[in-house]
Amino acid sequence: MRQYITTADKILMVVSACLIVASYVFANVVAVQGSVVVIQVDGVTVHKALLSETHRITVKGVHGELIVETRELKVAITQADCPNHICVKTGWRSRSGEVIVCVPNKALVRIIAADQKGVRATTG
Amino acid sequence: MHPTDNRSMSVIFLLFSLPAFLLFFSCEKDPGTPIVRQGTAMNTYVGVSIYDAGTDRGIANAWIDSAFAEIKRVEGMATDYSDTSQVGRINALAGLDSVQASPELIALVRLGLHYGKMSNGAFDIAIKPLVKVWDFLGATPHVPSKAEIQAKLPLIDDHLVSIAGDKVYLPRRGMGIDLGAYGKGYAIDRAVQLLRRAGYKELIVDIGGKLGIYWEGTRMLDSTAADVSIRHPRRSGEYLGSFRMGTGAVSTSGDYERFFIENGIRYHHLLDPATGFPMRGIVSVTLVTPEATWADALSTIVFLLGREKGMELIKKSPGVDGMIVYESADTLALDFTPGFRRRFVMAGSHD
Repeated sequence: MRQYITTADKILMVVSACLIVASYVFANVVAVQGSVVVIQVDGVTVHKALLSETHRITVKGVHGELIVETRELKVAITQADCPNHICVKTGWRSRSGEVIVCVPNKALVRIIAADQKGVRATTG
Repeated sequence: MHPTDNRSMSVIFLLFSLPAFLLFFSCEKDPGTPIVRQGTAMNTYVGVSIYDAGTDRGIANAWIDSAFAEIKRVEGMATDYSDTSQVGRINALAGLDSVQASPELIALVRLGLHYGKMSNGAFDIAIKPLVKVWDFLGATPHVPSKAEIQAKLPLIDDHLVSIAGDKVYLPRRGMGIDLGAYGKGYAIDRAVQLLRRAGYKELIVDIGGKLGIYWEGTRMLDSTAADVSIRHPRRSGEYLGSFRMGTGAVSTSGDYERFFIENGIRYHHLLDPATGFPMRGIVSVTLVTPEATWADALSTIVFLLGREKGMELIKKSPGVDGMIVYESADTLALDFTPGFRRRFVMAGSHD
């Protein structure tokens, strides 16, 4: 059967496979790497950073200081001057639209995708 | 086989692969730039997003303000973390006096009592004394002594909650009600209704990962309007999988929302009213229902009922689909309703 597959057929198959891989890479890597982390305190944006970069950002909340870290395409509040540290326990977030909140500090850490296509939400 | 047949095969292969490529760029109808606002209420984050094309941003923002105000109104009425809310006053005067409550709050308390009956006591709105002892929202939550828990158990009984006319009375000092298991869902339903009445046709209200979705002309899992990801219960920043849905609500109750670990054991906030300790057996429950109040309450009830009874209740509840996640031999296992199994895509198994 092998001898019946022409060069054109092979090119067609390779091109098709490349299209699938390219679309996967775009949807899962490129779009995520362009995401921006926006930090707000009491409704005011106080800092922006690329999710793809490594940052350790000190933020002044209304109750005390917070440390927001970005690395490996994820963001987390890793330290906070707040009574219950629920924000720190929230852990890392990586998807656009996701939010980490420190209620006592009125601080919001939000991921905004460069590619805003689609309607996305997260549960759990 | 003739070469022409192989060429046909290649063309067929291309025809099948092209849609996969186009999927990422075109199948998700681009809703344009949504109007999104996020804030805090009910001890968690709140997100309201309106996707209607061509919406006047100023007017939409004013309606979103109203939606936030409505959520905060519900919180102000039903929170048990304030002595001035209606629930706070009912709890503060337990064993002393009855408290006048609004018809709305009375209806919410009655709803909680109905949930208690429906679950044969696995769910109990009179759980507040135990919640106080465990203090999951406190600075240093720890495992209370058995004596402390035993002392509270006689107070955990929703049969004692008395409603007479517009008054609610808790007969024993130290009793308390906690509507937290469905308060967020109720606030979501109120906010969604408000925005629908304002004429918006494509929107999501998110309170701490509990979602109310309204997408005109769509229904629950029959639609692909929104892509909902489910957080991984054990791996921070990762996702268990996702599913698509239209108008409806989603709630997840899990042992990873409010918890602490002491001596290597996870203690979470979903307490068994019978023992006073966190309920064991389930890691998380994710449900899709027509309304958020029901999604919120039912995900908690199913968690408290355990795997078998919980799945039984899901299956006999009309219009409800979902899954139960549990630990099995150091790994996570999933129980699905047939409808949810068809829609759920495990992380890493698609695209």
